[in-house]
Amino acid sequence: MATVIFREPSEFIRSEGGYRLFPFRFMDFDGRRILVNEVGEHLVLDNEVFDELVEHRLSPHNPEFQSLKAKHFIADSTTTTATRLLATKYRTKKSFLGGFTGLHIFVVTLRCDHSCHYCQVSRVSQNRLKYDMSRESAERALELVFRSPAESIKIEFQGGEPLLNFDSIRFVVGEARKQADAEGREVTFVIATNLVFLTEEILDFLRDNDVLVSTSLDGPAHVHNSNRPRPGNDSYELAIRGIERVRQALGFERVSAIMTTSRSSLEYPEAIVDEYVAQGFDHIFVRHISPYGFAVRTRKRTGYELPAFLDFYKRALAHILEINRTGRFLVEAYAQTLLTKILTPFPAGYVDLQSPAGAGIGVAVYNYDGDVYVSDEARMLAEMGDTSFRLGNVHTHTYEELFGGPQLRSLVEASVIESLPGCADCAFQPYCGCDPLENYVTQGTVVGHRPTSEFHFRNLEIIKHLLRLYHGDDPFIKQLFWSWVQNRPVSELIPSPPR
Amino acid sequence: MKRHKTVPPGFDVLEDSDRGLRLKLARSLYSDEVIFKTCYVFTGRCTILLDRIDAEHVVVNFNGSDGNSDLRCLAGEFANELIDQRVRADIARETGSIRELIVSQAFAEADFSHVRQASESDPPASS
Repeated sequence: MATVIFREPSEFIRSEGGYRLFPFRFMDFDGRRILVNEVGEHLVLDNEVFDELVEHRLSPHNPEFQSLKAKHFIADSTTTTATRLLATKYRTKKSFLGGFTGLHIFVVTLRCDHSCHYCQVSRVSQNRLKYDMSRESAERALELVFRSPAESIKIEFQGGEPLLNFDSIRFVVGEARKQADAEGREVTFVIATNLVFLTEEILDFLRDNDVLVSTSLDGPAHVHNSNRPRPGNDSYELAIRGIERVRQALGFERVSAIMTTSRSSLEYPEAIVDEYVAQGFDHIFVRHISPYGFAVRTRKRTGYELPAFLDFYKRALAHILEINRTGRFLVEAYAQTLLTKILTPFPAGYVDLQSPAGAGIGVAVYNYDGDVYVSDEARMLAEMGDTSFRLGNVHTHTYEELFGGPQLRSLVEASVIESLPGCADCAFQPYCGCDPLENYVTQGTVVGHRPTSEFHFRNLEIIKHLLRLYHGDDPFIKQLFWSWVQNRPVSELIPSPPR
Repeated sequence: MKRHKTVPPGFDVLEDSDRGLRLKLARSLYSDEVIFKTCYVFTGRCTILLDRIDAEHVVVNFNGSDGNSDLRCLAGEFANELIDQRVRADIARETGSIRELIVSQAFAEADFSHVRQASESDPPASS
């Protein structure tokens, strides 16, 4: 007769249904209920189990009981361990707050050679020097940048086409580097350019100063050139040649690309994804068009309804998943951001998917004329004649007035989704965020109206789509999503417990 | 918990006509907060007017442009949403103190030592 060393596992389970609920939100999820707690852990339950749970009738022998306990939806004792663990994860999720205004965008010129249909900026022709940032404005903007308490500072150059005012870039990089070294702070640089005006001198400078390059690639030539007209209709050819030159001079990983979905893109999700693969990129951000600036005036030509974008996004994502299945690592960046929030307690670093939103507190924009805006979209709005989100000017306002004034405070207050109508009770709140400017532009108020908000429905549907895929029958997708979170191919995946 | 597609049986429909649909709700079951949160969810799909007819009841008047068959379907969803919002309110009441504890503990123990503090030696921005 065998000696019994351990009692049966069931004997360790409390027989009474005495448990207490921990805070969570819920919503219908394809006829079941999805529960999401304060730190983003989630569980999908059958409705009957959900009813038993909230009515305190759930048996400890129910298979879901341990999952609910492990993910801190319930606790069966008065221990403080669960609250401490949740507090730690909550602190991690909100840790982006410690890096107040880490991203500083310098719009060094409004001049541009392109006339993109969807461009958010009202560009001006190349020869109008009055639209360049002056040395004095750049100096004052740099003083403000280094008043930011962020330990790590990123300076991004935008336009127009920023290379048309390369002198200003050279000045800012040089001065910022000196200041950062003197203060023992980290500073990094990114330039968002169409690559048309690259020269050997510029490439040398970018290499010597570790400047990252970000460019636009909207898809194959017929899509890209249709979206991004310029004299000669050769934007695609110049972009591809530029990418190659940057890779040769700076290194393969020193250039990234972003795409914007215009109406002419909608028919070609697979071809656009294939273009990114052909050019050797391992990240693609399937990005919807923004309702700002020049894009508003061309909306009839370039715009589309939300269902069309969602269909496009899902087709592109399906194609990306199939490409990964063949062993080629390719990440969809928006899904990666959301999955990081869904599967881990870490903040995702995307200003529109955080609470409070990053406008002004995560990013600040110094326009060519010295005006300071809460975001790139805010200065685009100003170009349309609406300066509601202009914080002030580098020549007339102090740091305290710009970043501590009532205007920014009220904007932050209006973007805390924990207290926004419609968001406060949404199960996906820990995964989502808000864009007070998009609310303002599309709905006339920074708070917005969730039942008619495109931002809300876009994120709701994409999050649901990702969760459906994650909880579907395909084990590869679960693995792949974890690999995206860890930003490494499936073959190099560090095992993580399925959630 | 049954999910209704149309107005559930036993729901007190005061009026179902061309002028709209009117439902009577017992305030003993649904607080004002629950009723308002439920109404908010539907404000993108129809016009809702609330009327307190006596101390114990609130009447919800639905008006939409798509005809009353849609309104009846919508009222069924409204009934489900009322229950969800009531459950949310119950959970919030039961777990509110723990939520406050988690959030306050999270920030109380936050270490901001890595964040550079602005000091008086920082160059003042001229005005």
